[in-house]
Amino acid sequence: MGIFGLFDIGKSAIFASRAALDVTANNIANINTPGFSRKEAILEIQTPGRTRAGFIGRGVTVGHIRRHYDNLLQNQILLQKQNFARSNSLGDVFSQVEEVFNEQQSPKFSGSFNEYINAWQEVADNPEALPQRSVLLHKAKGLISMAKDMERSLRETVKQTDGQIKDSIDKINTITGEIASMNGMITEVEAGSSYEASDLRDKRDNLMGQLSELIGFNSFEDDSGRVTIVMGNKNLVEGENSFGLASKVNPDGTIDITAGNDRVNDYISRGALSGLLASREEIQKGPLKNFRSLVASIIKETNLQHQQGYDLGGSTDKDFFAPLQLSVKDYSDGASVSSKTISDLTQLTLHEYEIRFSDSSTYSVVDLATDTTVVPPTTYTSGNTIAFDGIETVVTDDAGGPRGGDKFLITPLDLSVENFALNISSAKEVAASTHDYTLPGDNRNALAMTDIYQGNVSDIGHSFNGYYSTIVTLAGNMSSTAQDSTDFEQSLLNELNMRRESVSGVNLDEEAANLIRYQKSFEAGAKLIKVTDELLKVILNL
Amino acid sequence: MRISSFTIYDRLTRAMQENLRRLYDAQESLATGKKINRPSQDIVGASRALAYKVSIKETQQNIKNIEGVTANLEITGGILGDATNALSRLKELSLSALNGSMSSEDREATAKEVKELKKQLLSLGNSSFQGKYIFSGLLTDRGAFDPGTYDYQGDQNNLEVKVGANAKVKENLTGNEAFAYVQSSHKVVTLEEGTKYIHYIPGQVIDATYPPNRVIIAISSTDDKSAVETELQGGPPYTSVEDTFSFDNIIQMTGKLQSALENNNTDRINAILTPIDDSIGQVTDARAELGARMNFTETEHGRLDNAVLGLRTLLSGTEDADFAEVISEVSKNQVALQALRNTGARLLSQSLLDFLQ
Repeated sequence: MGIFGLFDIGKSAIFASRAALDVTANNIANINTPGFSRKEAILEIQTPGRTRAGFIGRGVTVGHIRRHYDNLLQNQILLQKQNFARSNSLGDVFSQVEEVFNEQQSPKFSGSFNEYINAWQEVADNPEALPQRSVLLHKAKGLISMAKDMERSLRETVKQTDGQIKDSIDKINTITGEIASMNGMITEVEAGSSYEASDLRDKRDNLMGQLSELIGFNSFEDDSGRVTIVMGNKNLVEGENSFGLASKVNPDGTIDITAGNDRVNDYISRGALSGLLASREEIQKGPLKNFRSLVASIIKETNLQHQQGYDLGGSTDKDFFAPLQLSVKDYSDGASVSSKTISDLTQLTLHEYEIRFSDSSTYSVVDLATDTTVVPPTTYTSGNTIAFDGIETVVTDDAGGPRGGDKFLITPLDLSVENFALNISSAKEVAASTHDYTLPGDNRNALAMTDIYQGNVSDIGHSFNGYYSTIVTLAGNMSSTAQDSTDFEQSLLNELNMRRESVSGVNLDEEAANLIRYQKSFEAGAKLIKVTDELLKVILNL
Repeated sequence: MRISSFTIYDRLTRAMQENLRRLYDAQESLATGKKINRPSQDIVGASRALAYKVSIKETQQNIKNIEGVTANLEITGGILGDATNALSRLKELSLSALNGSMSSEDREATAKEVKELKKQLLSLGNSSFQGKYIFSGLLTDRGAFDPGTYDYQGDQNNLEVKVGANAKVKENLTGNEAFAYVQSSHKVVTLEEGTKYIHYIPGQVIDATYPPNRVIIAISSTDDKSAVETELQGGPPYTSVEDTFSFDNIIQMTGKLQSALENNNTDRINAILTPIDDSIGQVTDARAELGARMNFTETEHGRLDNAVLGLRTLLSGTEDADFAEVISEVSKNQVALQALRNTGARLLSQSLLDFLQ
């Protein structure tokens, strides 16, 4: 090796130091970049030259840029993010539901309802006095608007959840699209080289991190560095292609998430989307339905008692609240429910029923609350009345008649709060008396009313106050369980993030030390070239 | 374990967040005065608090009901007191009118006072309170007694008011309960040796032990002599009934007394003495009944007052914040937060880069 070799060694030291300084600078610059993994320039000795004395090194080179990265940890974090996102979105939604029933800060339904009962008591104390009767109507209006406000808040929460579900699906589709294109870039960059496209991979990891906040998935990488993202039996990303999700609202208000033509709700087990779907369902089956049952039961019992009484003008058989109405959810194409009435309020159970067609000419009716058949299989004739448990409905053909598997859900609950209103308009119409002739001082119907309000009601298995308390407890429980599990998942996620940081995070002190280290080696390399130059001069001047 | 710069920053911010959250919770407790601000903070406690609030409202309404009943009972009691006084005066006047030295003019003068007493009794019977007539039963929109005939025109029902979950109390006495004249059994009063007059209850046969004598006066359900005679046929051989008259209540009775005085009919005056005594007894019994009810409402009132107090204490114990505890929690957290900020400022501001020249 000639003296010029020294130049090469000096040059290699400068180049390698420059490269290492670049890596250090990039680490420092990205200290706050999410998903960034610390890089390290791995220096190697250049292939040594052979001399008679043996091998002598020919300087240094940057072997490769190492990405400090733990694949297993990364996957754990993705999974944990999905768990956390689910709990977190459940917690967010349920805390809104809890707030609807939060009587701790200000009186809500319980406050209004008990004022309403007390107004009935006042009427019972002074059955002939108009002021007390007017107060009763006023308090009843207060109760109605409170119940409506609360139901509206619940429905709005559900609606917001719907909106969030749509947003999430849009975001998921955007992210899976980006991951697919990242896959393409990574394969292109890495093709035929032994180097990792480490910054692109960091970016893709970051996208997968964002995706895991939205939806649960599994992922694996193929030989060419492309990642496949699988949810259940559906691929969201495969190679350079992504497959979008869509949502569809059913007649009963539930939402289906679809991939292609298939419903994939059951595969969505983690991530914010799963939390949103679950919270939506739990609100509808829990607090919302129970609250509607409560109001429906109040309307039913109040009207039944009120019908028996006589008002100040001697009239009887009047409803106090606007009568309950049935609503139908139609799961058929060829037939529809053309009429639905409550024929006998005393028989009404406040359950939901399904008219099911086993084939085009046979139906049966099932009580969904008890899962019992209330009308055994019967031959269907279009336009005939189907009667059960105080309900009369008529199913008629509209386009070819019913088919096997068609069903109609009949419920007295869905509209109970929406249609909650007073039926009587003047204070005189309050039926406080039990006498068919004018007996203004008679309070026995009003007393019977207060007894109903304070006693057990068989439809709901509690007193009205007791049943409401179970709704409050349910809402509180839902919220507190979600909060607890959010806290738990958060702490696990923090722990994993700590471990990831420990491997992949940038430490400024460390980088500062490296800066000095490579600066010095750069200076030393430069010095080497200078010394070599002087050595050459000595030789040339000989 | 390798520590990255982010780790230090992250741990610090999280610790700070945790502290701030505790401070916020404590501050919320201070602001609202409650340790349970939403059900999820203490589900059992919140549902208890709700039940206590419902019970307090219910109990307060019962107390209100009781106060209404008590006012009515007191008013009714006062009226019955006045009625007793009037009846006593009636008795005095009848006794003095029977004095042999009394002339028919004297009796007519007494009749004038009796007439005033009759008016007073009528107005007592037709008293109203808070817009409703007290003694009309549930027909509260009209006076209990017809001002012309003095017939009772109310009904026989009582207004019942709820004073507890399963306790009701009657608020009123009907006109019949207070003022009707109902003889509990027949009475025979001897006026002179061998002569009797009878207070007679229709449908009840007079003892056969009485010797067959003439009946000079029967107080019956009717003014019709022959009808009374017919009714008496099943009993001892009463030959004839010389005089009969009827009244249903003490106002009508006072009216009969008044006309007896005006007509100088001492037999009738004599006959009315016993009904007056009976009426005094009946009104006194009615007052005793009112007293018993008031006793009950008073006891119940006291019990409910205590119940509200007890429920309030329970509610407060369930949902109210312990201020001493919360304040000490606040200062504890403030100290911790201060310490965190101090260390954080030092930790975050230092870097090896500071030493690069």
